[in-house]
Amino acid sequence: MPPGLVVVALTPGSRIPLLLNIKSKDWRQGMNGFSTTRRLWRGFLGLVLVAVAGTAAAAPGVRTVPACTKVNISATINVPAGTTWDGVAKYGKWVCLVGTASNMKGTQSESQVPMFKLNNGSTVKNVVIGDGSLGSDTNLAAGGADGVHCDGQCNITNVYWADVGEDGATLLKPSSGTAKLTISGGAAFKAKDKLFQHNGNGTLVIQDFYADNIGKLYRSCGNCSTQFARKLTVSGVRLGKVNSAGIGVNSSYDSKSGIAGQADVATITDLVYSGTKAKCEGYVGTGKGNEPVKDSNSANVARACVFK
Amino acid sequence: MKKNSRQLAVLLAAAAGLGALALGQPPVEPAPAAPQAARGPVLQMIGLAQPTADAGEAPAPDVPGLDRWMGQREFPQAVLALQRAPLAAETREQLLQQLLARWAEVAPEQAARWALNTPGQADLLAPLHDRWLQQDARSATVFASMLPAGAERQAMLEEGLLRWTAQDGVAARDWLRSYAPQPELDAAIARHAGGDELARYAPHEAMDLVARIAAPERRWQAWQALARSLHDIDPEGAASLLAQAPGLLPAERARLLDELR
Repeated sequence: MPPGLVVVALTPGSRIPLLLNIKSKDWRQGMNGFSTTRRLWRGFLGLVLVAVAGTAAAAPGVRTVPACTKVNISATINVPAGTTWDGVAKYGKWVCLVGTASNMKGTQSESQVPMFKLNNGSTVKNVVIGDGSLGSDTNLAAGGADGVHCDGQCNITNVYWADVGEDGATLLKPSSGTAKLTISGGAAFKAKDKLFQHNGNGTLVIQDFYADNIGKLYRSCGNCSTQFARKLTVSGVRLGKVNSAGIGVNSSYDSKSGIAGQADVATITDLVYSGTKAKCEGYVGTGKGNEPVKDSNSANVARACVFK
Repeated sequence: MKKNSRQLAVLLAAAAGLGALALGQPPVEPAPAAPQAARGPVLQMIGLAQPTADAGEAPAPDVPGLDRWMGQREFPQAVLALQRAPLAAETREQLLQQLLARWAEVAPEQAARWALNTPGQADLLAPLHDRWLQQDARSATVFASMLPAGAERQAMLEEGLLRWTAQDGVAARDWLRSYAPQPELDAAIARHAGGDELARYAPHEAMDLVARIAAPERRWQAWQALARSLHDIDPEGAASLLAQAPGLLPAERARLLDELR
């Protein structure tokens, strides 16, 4: 009997079967007892033997955009510090927010404004950003604006990007303190470039997420005017089609960056991707006005892309 | 009696349709074709197709029986008809996803049970459950909890709890608290309780949940994650909150605080 085999007892009145983890030795001893007392064994007719392949949390399966009612949005939704903007709670159903202003069309223009501006300690959840019905191209003007901007510590929970515009979400240089953006649940589709952009300091967390037809899942800013050694935590993420790379970190910084000698660190657990692009690639972070190049030092990249 | 006759008629029609499909020639390999939308009148009615095209557009693909099955809300037969139709793969997948969405909207539990119990259709369970979770995360999660134990149930249960806690955290946590600690709920609890959102808005609930994690190692990891979240939110207040954590020994609390320094 392989270790990890689990006995499942379906007890009357219980809605969740009781799980009893039986280690190999215990199982052998138990089976000797059962062989001599078949009646007792029959008493366990409610037991089902199931081999469970590990107990670790795995990446989610393929997700789809929820059926939603379109709501036109003409200006950025500002979420005050410490508050939650919950789409399902606000509208009583799933809505997809479609930007109507010229700078919210969800094109690749850098002058786009965000759909949401999250202030320190705020959360956006249960909403679809952009109109996913326009086709499969990644270069559509689907009204997703520049996604979500986070200033400080923010949460993006169970949010779907039906068609990503310039970015899905950006962690800004915070007004004060250390930034942290946690993206938990949800999915994103059709990002021509990167999905999550990390410009500020601190940590970006991506967990239990699905993305398909994207350029990159994450990019640490390669040439921001103020550079930081950033942290990324990826846990339980499934990627479909990736057009550039999974994750882009600055595995080293040059002298123009102002933080030479430092590096980003991406800690990656349960990242499921079966395509041919790199799951994590390193760049040399630089200063504003310069173009970051790929880091050719494999030791740097190995230090920056930590797979657990 | 009238109702029975009607049901019998539907069954006969279904049987006749299946027979016709079974006796027919094996499906011909679909010819390479550009994706196009099917436009039967019933498909239009249920939103599976755009209105009939203007002259000059490509003709709609032929999906024998689909209109009829959809009209009668015989979704299993509609899926079979679609799977057997000589369509381009992309068109078939597009229509299948729309059909599943419709089925999950009308009768999600029936759809999930059908996928679960019909040979060869297991792959459709996950997309059906995904749709069901979007419209009724509670029911879809409870359904997952009643499946035979195994990796599939574990995955669906975790996904369900992830969505349910996001959409109605209060109800989902009540449901979790209604059970004794169980290893199969550990991962979902650890994820929900250790994250920033619950730690920020309801830290005492987060600590209560972590204390309910059955496996000691996973419980400890969840304490570490929660302690980090509390510290990120308020470095000064983390220690006093952890002092109120149920089931956390003073030595464990001290160790957590040491790790944060």
